[in-house]
Amino acid sequence: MQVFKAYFKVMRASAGAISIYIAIFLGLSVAFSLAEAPQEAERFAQTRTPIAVINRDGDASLAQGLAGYLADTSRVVPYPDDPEKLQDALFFRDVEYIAIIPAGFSADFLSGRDCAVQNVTVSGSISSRYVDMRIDKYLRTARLRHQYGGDQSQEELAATVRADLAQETPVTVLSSSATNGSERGFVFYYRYFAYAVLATIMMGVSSIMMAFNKPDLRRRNLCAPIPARSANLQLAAGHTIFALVCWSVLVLCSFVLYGRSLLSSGLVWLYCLNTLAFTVVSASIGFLVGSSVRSTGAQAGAVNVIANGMCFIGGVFVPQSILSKKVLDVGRFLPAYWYVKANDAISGLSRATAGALLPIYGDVLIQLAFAAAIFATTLLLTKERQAE
Amino acid sequence: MLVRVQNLVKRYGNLLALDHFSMEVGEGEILGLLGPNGSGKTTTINCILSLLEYDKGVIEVFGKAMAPDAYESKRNIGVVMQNVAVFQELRVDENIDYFCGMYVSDAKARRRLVDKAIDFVGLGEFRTFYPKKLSGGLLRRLNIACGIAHEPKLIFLDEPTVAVDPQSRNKILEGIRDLNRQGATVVYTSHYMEEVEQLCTRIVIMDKGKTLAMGTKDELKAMINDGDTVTVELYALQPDHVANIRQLPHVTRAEYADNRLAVHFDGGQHNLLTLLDYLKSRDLSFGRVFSEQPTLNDVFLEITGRQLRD
Repeated sequence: MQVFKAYFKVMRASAGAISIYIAIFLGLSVAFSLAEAPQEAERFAQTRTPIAVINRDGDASLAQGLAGYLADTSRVVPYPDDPEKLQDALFFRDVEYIAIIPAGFSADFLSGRDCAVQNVTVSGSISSRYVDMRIDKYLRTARLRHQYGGDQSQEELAATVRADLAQETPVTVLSSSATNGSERGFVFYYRYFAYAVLATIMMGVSSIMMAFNKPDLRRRNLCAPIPARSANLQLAAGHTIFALVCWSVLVLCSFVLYGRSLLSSGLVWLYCLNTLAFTVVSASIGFLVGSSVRSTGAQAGAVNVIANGMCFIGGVFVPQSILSKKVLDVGRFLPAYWYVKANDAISGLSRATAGALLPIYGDVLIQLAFAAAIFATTLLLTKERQAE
Repeated sequence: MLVRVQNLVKRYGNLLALDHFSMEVGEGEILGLLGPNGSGKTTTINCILSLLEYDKGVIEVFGKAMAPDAYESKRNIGVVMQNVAVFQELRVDENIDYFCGMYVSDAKARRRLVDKAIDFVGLGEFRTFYPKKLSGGLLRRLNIACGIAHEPKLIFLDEPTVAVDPQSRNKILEGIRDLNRQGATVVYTSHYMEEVEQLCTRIVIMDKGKTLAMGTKDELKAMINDGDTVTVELYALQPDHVANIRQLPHVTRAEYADNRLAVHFDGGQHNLLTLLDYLKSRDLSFGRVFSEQPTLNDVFLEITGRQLRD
């Protein structure tokens, strides 16, 4: 078991770097998950644009009704009818919209003459469009009531319009995910898990492979009375234990950070299964990198390019739902894509039924197939290189 | 014979690295494989150790055919590679323990062997150092300790003193003699003829993958029958004197240049006295006098027509 024992002594030299990797990635994963979680829409609230309303039509009921309606649906900031102060208010973004109801507006409206609510807005303000829509809505309702509502005084018309517009449509936000807000953290954690486990295991496994694959050391080992198969098996055992330790540490961290909500979700075993499959993929890529590169500079470059590239294209850093079709088409050739796909499917499960689990098992199997293909390719490359 | 190599042929593509090379190593010998860079020394060692496949020939070690799975034979072989082959991530003692552990499974016995190897190469005060903290010479000593810690009966040392300071080189050569005195048979490759001459009991001179000559150093020198060369410092020697000296008994060559007269004798006795008598008889005053014995380089020069280090 000399090779196996030496494995962990050699790993000791890289332990500091690997611990730093885990700590940094853990910190980043948690930070990303915390930063991203609140962005998901959980409830609906109308936009309340800050506006100023200047009513030059005095006590006319229709004009007052409009001003009242705007006050109900927007945030009215009180300003006097002073052009200079109003311009300052717009400039300093105290308000984004100034609605000016001109003198004689109500009378003109009721008599069918041309009339309009004047406005001054912040250039390019999207929320001011909402105010336009509300004024338009008020006036269209008033016109409708005035033309078809029979003989009504201006006060009655204003009251009827306000009553019509007071009716609201209740909005309920339906989420496609079974997880609620408090559970979101671990969903993101397990998405970023892919990057942490990939970079850490690639770094560790490739470091060991590089140490044992130095040509002179290899030759010296081949001179010893130990079959190459036995030495390779001992190395494989070392890789397995190292990968399992990394996986366990990262899974344990998820329990520490999101223990209760994670356990109550009832999906822990699925997350574990998916991460374990990706851990095997990470070990296979580390094996390939360690067998291909010769210098630590090339190793660090390969680890960063592969880990970052795969996580970007696979949908770890950017959700797959907002990636373009072309990127996703490329991503399908990377194991990270299938990891994220399975992760998203797990987080969307409300009940673990056989039908719902089948696609997740499929994604996990695809990851394992990637791992097997990478292992086989590496062994072929190694054999060819030795033959040279 | 501990090692028997017969008609070994090894090709690298179109390059013939070993051309029907043969040699034998007897028990208790220090056999020197001497040849210029690229002559096939390391290829020979690698073939013997089954690190390289060869095209033709027979290799036997400890009386058995050598093969990658000849683990019984390998158990009694120690190898010190040309390049330092140790783990940069392990300390000195851990490196030696790792390589010794490939041969010796008993932990107690291994500890004793590791301590012994550390003492043997004089790395006692560096045992907890990492290789990157060691100088070139100390690294070479560590490289040797890793190869001999399991006390093998047969040791292959492939140019172990390349790029080593004189102090470490002497220490290494003395260590090899000690190993031999303790019963180990040594195969030592080098292109430093002085080392081989000083250390080896028998020498194989090879070039372009072929055995050029084989024997003890005296046998090799006798083989070329080169005699000796006497050099005398003289001022303004006339050409007729040089011509006269060429007529003296056993003189094969005489040249005068840069106030130095070099006279080459092909054997015979009292050559120096004969030459000095002639100079005195002509009242020719002379300065320092040197007498040189033929070297292995002369042997190589005689056989191949070029210097060993060409």
